[in-house]
Amino acid sequence: MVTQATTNSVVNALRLDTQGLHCRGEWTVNTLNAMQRLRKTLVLSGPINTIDGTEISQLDSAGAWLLNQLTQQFPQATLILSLQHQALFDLVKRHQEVKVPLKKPVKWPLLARFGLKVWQFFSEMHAYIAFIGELCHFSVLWILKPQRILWQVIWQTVQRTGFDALMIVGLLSFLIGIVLAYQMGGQLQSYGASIYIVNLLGVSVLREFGPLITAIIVAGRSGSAFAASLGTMHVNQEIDALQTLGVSPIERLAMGKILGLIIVLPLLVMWADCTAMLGGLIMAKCQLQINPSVYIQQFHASIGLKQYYLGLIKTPTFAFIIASIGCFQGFRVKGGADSVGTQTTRSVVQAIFLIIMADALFSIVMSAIHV
Amino acid sequence: MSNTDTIIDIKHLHTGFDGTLIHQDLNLTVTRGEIVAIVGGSGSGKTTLLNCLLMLIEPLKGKIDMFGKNITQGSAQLRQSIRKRWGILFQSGALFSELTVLQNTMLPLQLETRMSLTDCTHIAQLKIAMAGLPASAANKYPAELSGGMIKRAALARAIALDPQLLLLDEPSAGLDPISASALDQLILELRQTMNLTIIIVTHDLDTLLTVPDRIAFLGDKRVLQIGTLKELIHSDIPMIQDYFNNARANRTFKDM
Repeated sequence: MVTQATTNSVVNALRLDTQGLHCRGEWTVNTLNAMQRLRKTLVLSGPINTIDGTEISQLDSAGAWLLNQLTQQFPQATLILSLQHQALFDLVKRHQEVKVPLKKPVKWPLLARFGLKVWQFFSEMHAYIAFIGELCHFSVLWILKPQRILWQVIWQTVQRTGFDALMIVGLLSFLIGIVLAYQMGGQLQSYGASIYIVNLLGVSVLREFGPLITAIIVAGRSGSAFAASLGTMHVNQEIDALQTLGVSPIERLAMGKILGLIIVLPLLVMWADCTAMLGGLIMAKCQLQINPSVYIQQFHASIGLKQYYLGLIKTPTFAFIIASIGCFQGFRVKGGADSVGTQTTRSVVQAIFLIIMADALFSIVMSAIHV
Repeated sequence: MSNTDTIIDIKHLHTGFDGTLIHQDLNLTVTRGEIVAIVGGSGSGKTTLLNCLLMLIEPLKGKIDMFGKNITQGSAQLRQSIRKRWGILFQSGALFSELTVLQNTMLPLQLETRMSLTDCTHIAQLKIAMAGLPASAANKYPAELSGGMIKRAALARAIALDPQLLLLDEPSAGLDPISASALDQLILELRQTMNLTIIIVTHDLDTLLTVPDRIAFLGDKRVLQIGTLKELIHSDIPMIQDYFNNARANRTFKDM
């Protein structure tokens, strides 16, 4: 910070007369900026013989660097310094910086950047497929040798991604149920077809909203946690340590998480279906005056068990997408803390993208086989 | 000893976490231009003491004066002004991983001064050279550096602003003997030319032999003894005798 006071003290810091250049006052990082300005205003009338620095009160290495610049600007002049400052000046002079140009970010043309993106996309896909291959390898191994199964990791995942998420998943699905019933109820009421709210809600919640909303919540909540924890383990060299112990990080860290999530996501979706329908029930009573008993009766009569199964059947796929992408991106962390953040973000974005893609695919297949 | 020459004055310091006391009635004074080493067995609270000085943890009781100002009860403004007067070398470097070595070194300069970018770059490159790094390391990211180079880059950042006080946490740990002794020489040279006060937390016996003026031995939750290396080697406190009387220490200190 250059205050008014320091600016004033700087005015006389660099003075030119017939004997030479006189330096005085504070020559430190704080005054360097002002000194540089003064140096630029120096008007030379003739050659100078001495640079007198004996009146400098305070000198640090930045000041010494500037003095060194002055001696290079006036190579024929001799520099006089006090003993204490001379040592510092010598140190700085000895380490006179070697100019290395700052690396400027290379600006590639548009086509090259596009090509790079495409290349990155395919190489990442290639790596992901290889990762799935490894998962298959260990799945077969676990089936053949069940004693290898890491039950502890699986149950820990069930606890953390399932039980601990009950509150948030339940609350959000309940609210979704309320919102859906409110929006659709208004429309149905104008046709006098209020009771069909149950049919609409039942199909949309059981087949689409329940699995989709739950999967997206879990992707944000647990998929990101997988990526961040594996990434941090890489930064701490824990992954390397596992590898040197002859343990595959994929088996030790990823398999249990993926299996655990495949177990727990269908259960979470069942819970989400229940709370969403409960939200709908409350809204139907408040807005459409449908009694809960009527609501349940209608639900029982019009919604077949098939809708429920068709919703649930998608969830293991969603669980696999979330957990495998989370772990995959965690393993792709390179370098430090910055990379952990990048890969965690990627894991969530890709997981949600793939969930929606998979959901669309399920819809197409199901309509093709007429279920 | 006049008051202005006391850089650090710790009085009756108590620290602890979760009910366990780490320091009890610890006293330590460091004067200007001095190099003080802090040694002690594992778990004797060396790093906690350092963190306390750095205002990263709050002491339970006691008083720490730095540059003649009480930092345990000081205002936020005072604490901020103290933070601009020291340089710290963390044990694992603590370089910012998204910045190059040059950008890491420039960061304190850009935060604290209004120098132009070119001047900042020049000063930072000078500091990198002073820390003993080749100029080509300036454009590298911390992940691309070896352990010794990370230490040197962290030292370059620590001395970027020519601080009056330098705190070094295990500067030579994990370095090869040549780099370690070069670093020791560098520390001595910096002290001489820049009139630095330096606190070193170290386990390195060779560093203890060459660098510090005084050594503070931590044990039993306090400073057991403070003095020159010779005084400590000939100490009659059992814990200090154990530390300096083993095969390794005897080889290093056989002339003393």
